[in-house]
Amino acid sequence: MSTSFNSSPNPNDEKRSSLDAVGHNVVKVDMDDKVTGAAKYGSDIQPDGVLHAALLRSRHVHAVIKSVDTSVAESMEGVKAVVTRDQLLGQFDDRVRYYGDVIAAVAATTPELAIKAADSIIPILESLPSVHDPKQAIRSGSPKVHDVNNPDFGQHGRHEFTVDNVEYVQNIDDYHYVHIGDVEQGFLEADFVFEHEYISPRVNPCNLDTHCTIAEWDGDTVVFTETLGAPSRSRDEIADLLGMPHDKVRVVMPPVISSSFGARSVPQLSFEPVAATLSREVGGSPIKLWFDREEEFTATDHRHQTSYNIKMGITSKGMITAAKIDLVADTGAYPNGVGHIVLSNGLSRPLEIYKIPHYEFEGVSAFTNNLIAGEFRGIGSTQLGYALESHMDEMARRADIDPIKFRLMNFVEEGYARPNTGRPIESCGLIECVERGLSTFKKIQNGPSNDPEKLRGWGMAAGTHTTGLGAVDLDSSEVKFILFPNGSLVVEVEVLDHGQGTDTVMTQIASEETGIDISNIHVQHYADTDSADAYLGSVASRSTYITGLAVQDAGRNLISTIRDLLSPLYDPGKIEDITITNNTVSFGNQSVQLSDLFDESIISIGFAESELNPPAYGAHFAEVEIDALTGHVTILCYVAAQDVGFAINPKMVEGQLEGAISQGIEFALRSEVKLDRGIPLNPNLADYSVISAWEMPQKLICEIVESNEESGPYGAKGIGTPAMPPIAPAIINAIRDATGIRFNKAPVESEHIAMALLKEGTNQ
Amino acid sequence: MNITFELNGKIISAEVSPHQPLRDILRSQFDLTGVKVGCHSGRCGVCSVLLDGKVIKSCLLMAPKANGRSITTIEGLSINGELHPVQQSFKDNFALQCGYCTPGFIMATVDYLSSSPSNPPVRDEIKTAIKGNVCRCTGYEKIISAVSNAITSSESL
Repeated sequence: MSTSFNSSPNPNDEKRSSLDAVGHNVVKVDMDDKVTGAAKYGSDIQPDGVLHAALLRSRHVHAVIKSVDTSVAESMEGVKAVVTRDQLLGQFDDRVRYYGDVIAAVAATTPELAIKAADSIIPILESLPSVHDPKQAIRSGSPKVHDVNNPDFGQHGRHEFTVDNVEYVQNIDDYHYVHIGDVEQGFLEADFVFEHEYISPRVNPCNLDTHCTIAEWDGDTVVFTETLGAPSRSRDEIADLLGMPHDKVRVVMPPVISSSFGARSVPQLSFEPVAATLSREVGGSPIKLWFDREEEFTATDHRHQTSYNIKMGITSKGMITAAKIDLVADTGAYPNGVGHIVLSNGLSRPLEIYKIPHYEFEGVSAFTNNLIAGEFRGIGSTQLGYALESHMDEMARRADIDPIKFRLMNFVEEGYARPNTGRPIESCGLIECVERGLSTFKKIQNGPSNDPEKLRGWGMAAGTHTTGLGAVDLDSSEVKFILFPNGSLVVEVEVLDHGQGTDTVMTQIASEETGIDISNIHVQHYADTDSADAYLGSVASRSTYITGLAVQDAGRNLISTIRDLLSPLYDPGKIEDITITNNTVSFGNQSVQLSDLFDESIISIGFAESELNPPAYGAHFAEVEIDALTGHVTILCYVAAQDVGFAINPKMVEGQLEGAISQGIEFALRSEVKLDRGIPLNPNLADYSVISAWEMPQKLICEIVESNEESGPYGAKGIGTPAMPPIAPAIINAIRDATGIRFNKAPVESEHIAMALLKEGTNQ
Repeated sequence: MNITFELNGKIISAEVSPHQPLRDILRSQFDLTGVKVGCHSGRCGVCSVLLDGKVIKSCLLMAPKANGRSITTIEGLSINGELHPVQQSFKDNFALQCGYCTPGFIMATVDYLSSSPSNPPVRDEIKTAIKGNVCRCTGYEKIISAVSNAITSSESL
C-alpha cells in the first residue's frame, strides 16, 4: 500500500511524528564551510613543490603517431618532465583514436609554462580512416577502432559475451540480448502495432569543478588525491589500467568532495595514468593535473548517445502484448565498463515498470572515433526512459487511447514478479505518483492559450531506476561508529557526500538510533582506499538505502554494547530505552556518565547487504508554451511526483528532484556536444548550453510519494538517479501535445520546432 | 607590474602580469580559494567577486584593472565569524549541494540586495539577478528561495 507525505490523512504522519531526527528537514551538515568559501575541493589543494601538468592532445580523430619532437619543450627552463604516449604507464599504443587522445605530456613549475611547453611539441601523425556512426561501426567494412571486440582495459563489469546477430561483427564494446515469451506471437495477438526510433543526445555532466588529480609516489605505491565516487573500485581499475597490483595504488579524498553525477565514478584514460607517469619521472613528487573546460568536454566521459528502435503491440483496449527493443549505444573510442550498464539497464527497465508478456531486447555498445562515453545520472535508464515514454505516449495518441490511462493499465504493481529476474516488486508508488501528480498539476496548469502564436500543451511520463546496482547484484556496506566519553560520535562510511546529502542522512539515522544530538555526530568517509575495501561508494543511488541500513545497524550495535557495559552495574531488567544525550547514557529512569563506562572510546560496526535493489518510481507532468514563429519553448509548469519509499529529509529529496529537472530540461531542449566527424564543435560553456534559473519551469512542485520499502531504512529507497528518466519525455510529450509533432531526436531545439511547424504549415 | 587595491577591507599590493586574470591572483597570491575556477569564459560565475560593490566575473577582469579599486571575495563577507545574512539564508534554505557555485551565487545576491530589489520579492527579478551564475546540483529553486528570504529578512532588520 502506497502512502503519501503531505496530504491528509496520511499514515506516514504518525510514523514521522514518532521519529526525532529521521523524516525531518534537518539542515545539511556541510553548509558552513561551503557558504564561507572555506571549503577546500581537490582543485584548491596546492602541496609544496607541486608541479603542474599539461597535455598535448590529438587533433586527429584516428591516426598513427609517426614521431613526436619534444626537443623545444625539454629545453625550456622550468620544465621538469616530458613524456610521450609510448612512455605512459598503461595501455597506450601508437594510435590515437579520438579528438583529445593523449600524444604527450609535460610537468613544469607553473600551469602557464606547462601549457606553453606542451604546445611546443611537434607530433607527426598519419591519418587513418575513422568511423563515427555506431550502427556502421559494428558492421563489416568499417574502420576498426580496436583490433578485437571487448578489449581489456581493466574496466569494471567486463564480461565475455556471444553476439547472436550475424551483422554485428566488429567494434563491439558489449552486447546484451534477451527474449522472454514469444514476441512474434505477441505481435500477432496485438490489434495495433507501432514502431519508431528515438535518438538521445551526447551530453556532458558539466560539473563546475573540472577534473583535478594530484599524483605522487610513495615508494612503489602511487597515490592520487581526487574525488572518485567509487574509490575502491576505481583504485582497482586504475591499477589494472597501469598494470600494477591493486595494493600499489591508493586513492585519497580531498577535504571537500566534488560533485559527480557519475562523471567521477570511473577513472579517465588521459588523466590518472598521465599524472602518475609524470610524477614517476620527477622522482615521485606531486603532480597536479587539472583539466580546463575544453578538456573537460573532450577528454572526460559523456552520457552515451543512443538510438532506440521500439516496436510495441497492444490490444484494442490498450493492453501491451509484446515489445521488441533494439539499442545501439555509442561508447566512443575506449571502454570503461559503462557500456555494459547502459545495455543492462536498457534491457531491464521496461520490465520494471510495465507488464510486457512477450519481450525481446538486443543492445550493442559500439566503439567509434567519437568522444568517450561514460557515467551520467541514470546510466542507460535516462535514455531508455526518454525512448520508452516517448513511445508509450505516441502509441496511445495514435491508438486514440488516453496516454495516462494507457500507462495505468499496464503498470507493474507490488507483488508482480518481473520476468527478467522472477523477483517480485516490493514497493511501488506508481499509481499514487500519477494520481497525486495529476491532481496537483491540474490545479496549477494554465490550459489552452488564446494567442494563436503561442501553442500550449501538456504531457506526462513515468519512469524508474533501481536503488543500487542493478536487477540482481548483491550490494553491501560496512560502517564504523566511534563513541567518545564526551558524547561525540564519529561515523565512518564509504559513501561520499558529493553534495547530495549523504553526510546529513547518515547523521540523521545515527542520531535516530542512538539519541545522540545531530551536532555531536561527525560523519567521515574512510580516509583512503586502504581502509575501504570492496565497498562501492556513492554511485547508483545506493547510499541512503544500503549504507543507511548499515548505519542503522551500527547504531543498534552501539546501544547493545552500552547495554553490555551497564549489565554488571545495574539490574538488567531495568536497562531499557537506552539513549545517549551529551556525555550521559539514560535508561529507564536512571542515567550514568559515559566516562564511568569506558575510558577512551567504544567502537561498533554496522553491516548491511541486500540484493533487492528496489526500483524507485516517478510520474512527472509538464506544460509548455511554444512560440509558433521561433519554436522557443517555455515550461510553464512542472510537477514531479516521486516515490522515494520514505523521505529521510524531505527538503533534500526536493533538492534532488529540482536538480534532476534542470538536467532533464537540458536533455530535452538544450544540451548536446555536437560532433563533426568526431571533432567537437562546442566544447565550452559559451557554445554548449547549460541552463540558468531562467529556463527552469515557471512553476515547479515536487510531490513526495512514500511507498514504504520494507527492506530500506525506515522505508527509504533511492532518489538521485531515479528522478531522471521521466523528465525529458514529459517535456517532449508536452511539445507533441502542443504541436501535434513527435520529435524523436533530443535535444528538441527551438529551430527544429520552428522548421517542423513551418513544414506542417501549422503556423500559417 | 605592481598594483595596489583594497582586498576584503585591507589595502594590499601585488606583483601581477598584464594578462593574468584577477581570479588567479586572488587564489595563488592570497589563498582566497573561495574564488572558484570553472569555465574561463565568464559563463559559469563561480569566480564572482565584488568590484567596488558590483558583482563581476574575476576570470574576465585582468589583474591590473583592479589597481585602485576595491575587491570583496566570499572570504570578506562574514565578520567575526558571524555569517553574513545572505550566507545564513543560503544555509537555512538548503540552497546548495556540492557548494562549488555557492560563493558566486552569494556574491551575486549581495550585489542584488544592495540595488533595492522589489519587496515583496519578484521571482523573475531574482532569476535575472542570478542568471549569470550556473548551478549544476539544485535546479535553482532553493537558491531563488534563499535570495527571496534574504530580501524579506533584510527588510525586517
